[in-house]
Amino acid sequence: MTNKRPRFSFGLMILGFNFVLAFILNLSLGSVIIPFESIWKVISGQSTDSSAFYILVDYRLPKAFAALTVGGSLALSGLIMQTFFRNPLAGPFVLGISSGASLGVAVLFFGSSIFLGGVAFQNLSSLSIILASSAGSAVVFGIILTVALRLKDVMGLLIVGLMLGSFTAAIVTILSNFSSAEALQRYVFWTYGSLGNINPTELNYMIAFVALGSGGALWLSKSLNGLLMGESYAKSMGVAVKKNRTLLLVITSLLAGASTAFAGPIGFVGLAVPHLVRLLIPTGDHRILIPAVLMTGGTLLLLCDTLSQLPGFEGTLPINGVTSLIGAPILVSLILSKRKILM
Amino acid sequence: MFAVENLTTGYTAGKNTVKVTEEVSFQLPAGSILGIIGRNGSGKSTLLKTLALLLPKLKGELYVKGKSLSDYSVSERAQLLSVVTTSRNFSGILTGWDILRLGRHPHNGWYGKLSPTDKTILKEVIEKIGMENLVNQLINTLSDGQLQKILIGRALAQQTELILLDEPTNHLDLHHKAEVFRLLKTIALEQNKTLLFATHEINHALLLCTHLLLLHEGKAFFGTPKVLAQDPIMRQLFPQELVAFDTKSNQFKICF
Repeated sequence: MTNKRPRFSFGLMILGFNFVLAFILNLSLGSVIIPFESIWKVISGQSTDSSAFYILVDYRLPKAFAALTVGGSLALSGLIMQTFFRNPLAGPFVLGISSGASLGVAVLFFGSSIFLGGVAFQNLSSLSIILASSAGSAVVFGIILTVALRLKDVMGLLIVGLMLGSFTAAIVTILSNFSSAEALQRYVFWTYGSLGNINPTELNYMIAFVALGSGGALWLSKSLNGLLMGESYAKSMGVAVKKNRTLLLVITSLLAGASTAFAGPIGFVGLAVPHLVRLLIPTGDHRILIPAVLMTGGTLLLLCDTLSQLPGFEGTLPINGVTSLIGAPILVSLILSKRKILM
Repeated sequence: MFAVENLTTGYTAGKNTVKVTEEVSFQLPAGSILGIIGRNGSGKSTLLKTLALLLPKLKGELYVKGKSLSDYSVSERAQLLSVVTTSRNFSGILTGWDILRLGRHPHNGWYGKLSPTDKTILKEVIEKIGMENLVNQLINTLSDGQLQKILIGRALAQQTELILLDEPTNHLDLHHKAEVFRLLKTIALEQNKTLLFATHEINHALLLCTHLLLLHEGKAFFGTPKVLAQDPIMRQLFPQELVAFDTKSNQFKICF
């Protein structure tokens, strides 16, 4: 063969290196700067009683894990949707999946405040928030899939997605009109997204859900590769398209739902990270894309989280704002430099 | 052996059933080439997609090796029957190699890792379709003819007894048409595979195919090219004043 088949291990290594770097930076920077040496001492167990230990173990490590879990899962759900619809504009936000998650959470917050009163509202468990958010995502994604089966036109599908987003937002607005001020405040803060307030139990749930979703996606990576040629070809190659469609619905809803439950509706990561990764590692092989997208999504959110609380700032900026503020120019400049997107 | 019994194709739209072609029956021994011909809208693609199980059949049965196709599992079917459709709605990130390796999908494990045997098969396929120099290019940089060869190569890599192709020479220039038809003939002759393809290239079908299936007004007519070319149904399909049949060359000619 005259031209060599490209190998992507180098690209994966670069992404892995960036990921580790972003993780360490995230642990180190903040209102108190912790030197790398102290981080190493804490991680390796040499220091168990310093102030660095408490800051890292109680606050920064859980937050860093939350950032990489949320970033990775949103990016992966975007990748799955772009592959499934063979559409570069697909993503949890564009197709209304994030809005569905928001609706799920809004119904839970406002519904419990309206119908069950303040006590029930205060006692909502983290699992119920994840489940409400995932159920909201699943309902919207289910509608999108049903429409996609009837409607072959991609533009039509995107318009339906945007309409669903608008429709769910309208329900949230109407619900909020009847709910208590506390519930409304809690919902508004939730939409800003916060990684720092996630408690260990919530983090464990989120990691478990996202690990389950990512494992499922990896298990289906061969089928996802087949789907890049379209459903007819995939079916003729032995892909159980109907079964996998349902599985992918569940996985995407879990990924988008679990992360949105705690980080709020982050619009940018799911759409942009798969493009970013394909520009750096131009392959359609999901066995490479899935780990790459997980790492890059995590890296992006770790960096954004670091920037949202750089030394000198009082408090932290909303993570949702920072993500788009940083990520959008990166993606636009990459697209302009390569003069195309790959999808 | 591939056999079709009393097959009726069509669509179900809500409560309405639209029949396209009724009572299609034929048998093909291994190594046959069947050309499905007919006017635009006669139901060639619908029939081909139904035979490939991409559309549900309204009635009838399909048999491979004496066993009904519906009795085979999804992955078993993918090892018996491969398809080349007219759809080009692929992800632009795929290279020729990516598409070819998908041909091994029904044969390799859950993770899709290529075995040494898979790699040998793919290497042979790439040589057969003559794409050694272009196989690592993105498919949207390939010409229609080159992409078609990749798609046929993918079907070959799937190593099925039956290959179904929907208008394999559509949009191709004469050079690429010749290459594709020659490739199909070699596959049938050398590898004893059964090929079925829908086509508008009636003259090429008359030369290449061992059997023809003519679709006209919801009915199917099956026979060898020699017999079917003389059949009165051909006169209905091609009125004498528009397209004349030259018995010497066994070819149709447009009457200008």
